[in-house]
Amino acid sequence: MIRYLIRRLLWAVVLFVAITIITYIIFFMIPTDPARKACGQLVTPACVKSARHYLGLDRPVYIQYYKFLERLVVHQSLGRSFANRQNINSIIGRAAPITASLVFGGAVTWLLLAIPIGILSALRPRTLLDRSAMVFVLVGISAHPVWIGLIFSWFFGYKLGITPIAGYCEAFSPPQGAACGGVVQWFYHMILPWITFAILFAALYVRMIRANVMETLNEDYVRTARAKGAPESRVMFKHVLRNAMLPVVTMLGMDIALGLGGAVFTESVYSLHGLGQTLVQSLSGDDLPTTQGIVVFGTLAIIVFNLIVDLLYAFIDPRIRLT
Amino acid sequence: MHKRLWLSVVAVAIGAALLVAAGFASPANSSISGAKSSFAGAKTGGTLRLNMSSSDVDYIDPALAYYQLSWDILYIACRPLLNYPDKPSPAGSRLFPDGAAAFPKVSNGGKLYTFKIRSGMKFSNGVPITAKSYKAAFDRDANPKMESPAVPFFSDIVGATDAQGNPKTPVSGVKAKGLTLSVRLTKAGPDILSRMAMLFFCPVPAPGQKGAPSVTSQGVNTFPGSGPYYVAARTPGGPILIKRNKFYKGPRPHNASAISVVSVNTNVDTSFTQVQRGEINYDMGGLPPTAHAGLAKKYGINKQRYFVHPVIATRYLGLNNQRLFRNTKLRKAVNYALDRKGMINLRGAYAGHPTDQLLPSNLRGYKNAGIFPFRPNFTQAKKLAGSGSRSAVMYTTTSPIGVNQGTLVQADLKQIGIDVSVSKFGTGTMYKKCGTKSEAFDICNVGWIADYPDPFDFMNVLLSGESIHDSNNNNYSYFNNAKYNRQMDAAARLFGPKRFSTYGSLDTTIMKNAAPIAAWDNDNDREFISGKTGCYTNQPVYGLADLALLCLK
Repeated sequence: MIRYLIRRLLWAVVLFVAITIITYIIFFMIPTDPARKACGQLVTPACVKSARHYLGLDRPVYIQYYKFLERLVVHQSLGRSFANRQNINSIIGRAAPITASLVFGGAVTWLLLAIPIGILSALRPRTLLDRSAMVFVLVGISAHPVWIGLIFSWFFGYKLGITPIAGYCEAFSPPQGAACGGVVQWFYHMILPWITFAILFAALYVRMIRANVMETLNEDYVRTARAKGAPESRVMFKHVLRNAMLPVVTMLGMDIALGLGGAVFTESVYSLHGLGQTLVQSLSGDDLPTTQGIVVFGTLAIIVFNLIVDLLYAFIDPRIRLT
Repeated sequence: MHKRLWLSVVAVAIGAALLVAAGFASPANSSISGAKSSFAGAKTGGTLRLNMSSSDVDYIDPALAYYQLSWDILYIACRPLLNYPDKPSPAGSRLFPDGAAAFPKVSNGGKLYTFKIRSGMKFSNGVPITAKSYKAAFDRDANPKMESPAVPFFSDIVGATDAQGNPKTPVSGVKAKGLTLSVRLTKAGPDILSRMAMLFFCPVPAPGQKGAPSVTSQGVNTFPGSGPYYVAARTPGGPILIKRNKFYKGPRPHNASAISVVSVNTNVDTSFTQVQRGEINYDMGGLPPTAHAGLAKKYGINKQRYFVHPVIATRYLGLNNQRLFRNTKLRKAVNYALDRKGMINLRGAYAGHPTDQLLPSNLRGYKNAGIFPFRPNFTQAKKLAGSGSRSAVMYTTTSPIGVNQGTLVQADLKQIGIDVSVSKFGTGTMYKKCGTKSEAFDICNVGWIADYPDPFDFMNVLLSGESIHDSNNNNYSYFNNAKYNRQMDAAARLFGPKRFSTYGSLDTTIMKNAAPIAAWDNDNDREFISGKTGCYTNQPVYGLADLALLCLK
C-alpha cells in the first residue's frame, strides 16, 4: 500500500512538471505581449519596457519557469495575474468552489438519473420504457451542453420563470453586492446547470448501466442465488448491482476529471465564474500565470481524485489489491 | 421480477421527486428570478441591477482603470477638476468646472494652470476634498509602484518623469495650497484640460488622511468617492456595489439609491434574456450581434428601450507607408475601392456609420469633406492604381467579423489589381505586430477609441511620424511626412475654437492629399434596457449609459 502510494506520488510529480513545462512552452510560442496590454491603448516603448520588467518577462524563459516553481514550492503561491494583477491563489480560491459545486452536484444528478433509468431499461428490455430511455441516450449524447443550456435557460428561466436564467449564489458568506446568498439560493441557482451538465454523462451512464445489469443478470451466480431461494431484493443489491456497478465507480472517477474540463460550457451559459470560464478568459487575455495556475490546480485535483478512486475501488472489489 | 421492477420504480420516483423539489425550492424573494421593484413608477431611489456580459472592469482603482466600463463607473464616483456634464451629445462632451470652481487661470505662455478648488466638498467618508486631494491623485499615478497606464497622459508636467523614477518623489510641478492647485508644464499643452478630466486624476484622500488608498500595483477595490456615488464593494471577477454619496452636494444627478453590478463576464445571450425579462435593468457589456435588427423593429431607435449613439472612435485600414503603400496614388486607389458600408454591415445592424476621415464625426473640429465614396468606385480606383498587378499582406483579427472583413478587402482590392493575402491573429497579437516597424504587412485592420475628446488623440497620436519607434507604435500606417508633422505640431499648440478648426482642416487636407489610411467606420454604441428602467441618457465621452441618470420606473 505504502509503495503504491509513493509510486503514484512520484508519477504525480513527473506529470506535474511535464504539464507545466508544456504550458509554458505553448505560451512562449504565441507571438503576444502581455506587457503591451498592460500599457493600454496609448502604448509607449517606455511603458512596455517597464511593464515587461514588472511582469518578469525580460528574463529568459527557463529563469521564469524556475521562479514559478520556486514560488509555488517555497511560498505556495501561483503568482499574480498579468491581466488584473490579482493573486492567483485568490482567483482559484473563488472559482474552484463554483466548479466543484457544478461538477459534484452534476455527478450526483447524472447518477440519480442514470441508475434508475439504466436498471429499469435492463429489467424491461425492448419495452416502451427501454426504447424511451434509448431515445434519451441518443439526445443526451448528440445535443451540445451549450445548446441544452440555452434552451433550458430560455424555457424554464424566461418563459416559465420557475428557475433563474443565470447566475450563481454563494452558499456561505456571499460577497457584498451579491444578488443573493445562502444554501437555498445556491441550490436554486444550480438546478439548471446541474441538469445541463448531467445530461451528457447521464446518457452515457444509462447505456453502460443497462448493459452491465443485463450481462450480470445472466451470470451463473445470479441464477444460483435465485435457485437457492434468495429474496429478489438481495439478488438485486448483493449480486447484480454490486457487480454491475463496479465499472461505474471507475468511470465516475475519470468522468469527474473529464467534467472539470467540460464544465466550461455549462459555466459559460449560466454565467458561473468557475475554473473553466476563468481559464477561457485567461487564455483569451494572454494571462499566462492564471492559465498556468488553473492547469496546476486542475492537474493536482485530478491526480488526487484518481488516487482516491483507485483506493475506493480496491475497497469495493476485494479481488483487487494495491501492489 | 415484480419486486425488481418496483425497486426500480421507487428509485426513479426518488430521483424525479428530488429534481421536482429542487425546481420548487425558489423562495419568493429571489432577486435573480425577477422580484418586482418596490419603486415602480418612481424616478428616484431603488437599486439598479446591471450585468457586464462578456466583460469586466479591469480595475476600479482610478489610477489603473483604463477600460470603457471602468470609466463609466468611475464617472459617477469621481469629481475631477473638470468634467463632462450628464447630457447627451454634443453638450455631454463639453468640459465644465466640476471639482474646480471655474476654468483655470492660464499663465506663463500656457505653461502654468492655476485652479481654485470648490469649497465645502467632501469624500463619501466625510474627509474634506481640497487641492491636496487632487495632487494626491497625480502623485499616486506617477508612483512607479502603481504601474499606472496614466503616465503618458501627464508626462509633460514638470517633475512627472522624476516621480516615475522614485516612489518617494512627488510630482514637483503640481503644487497644492489650501484650495489652490497649480500645474506647471514643461511646454504649452493646450489639451491638458481634456487630459485632466480623465478619471486617472480622480481626487483621493492624501496619504495620512482617512481612507487614503494604498499604493499597490494591484489597485484598490474601494476608495472614498467624490462624485454622486462611491464604490462600496467590489470582488474582482464578481459583483460591484455602488452607493449614493451622502456628502455629495454638487449639481450632478443621482437617481438610483444604489447600483449593483450583479454579474460580470455574463453570457451575452442569457444576459439579454435577463434584461428582456426585467431581472436585470441594463447590460453594460452589450448585446448579441443578431439582436439589433429585431430590437430596432420592436422598440424603435432612441425611443423606448433600444438606443443607438455614436462613439468617439474610428475604424480604419492602416496602409503601411513604408512598403507597398508608400505610393500616394495607390493609397488613394484603396480609398476609392473600399466598400465602407459593406465593412460596417459585417458588424451587424446599426454598428456604425461610414466615414472616409480619421476624426470621428462626433468629435469637435470634424469637417465633413466627402473625399472618398462609401461604396466602391472601381473606375476611379483603377485610374489611380494604374496597370499591373501587385500583392499585399493584410493583418486582421481571428474573430468572425475580422475574417469576413479581410475577405471583403481582398475582393475589393482584387478589382484594382492588388492580390491581398490575409493573415489572422488574436486582437492583442495583431496590434503588437502592426505596431512593430519591421513587420512585413501592408494593411492592418485597426481601430482607435478616444482616450479623451481632443483631435490630438487621433491626429498626432496616429499620424505623426515623429513618434515612430522600432516597436510599440500607434502610428499603424507609419505615415511620416515632415510638412504634416509640422502642421500637426502647430495645431497641438493652439487653444480654443481655433485648435478644433485647424485640426478639422488638417484632417481633411491630409486625407485628401496623402490618404495615409483608409478610414471606414465611426462606431455606434448600441444599448438595450429593461421595461422597468427609464431615464436613459448616453454619455458621449464614455460611450455608455449615464449611470447617474439611469432610474427605475
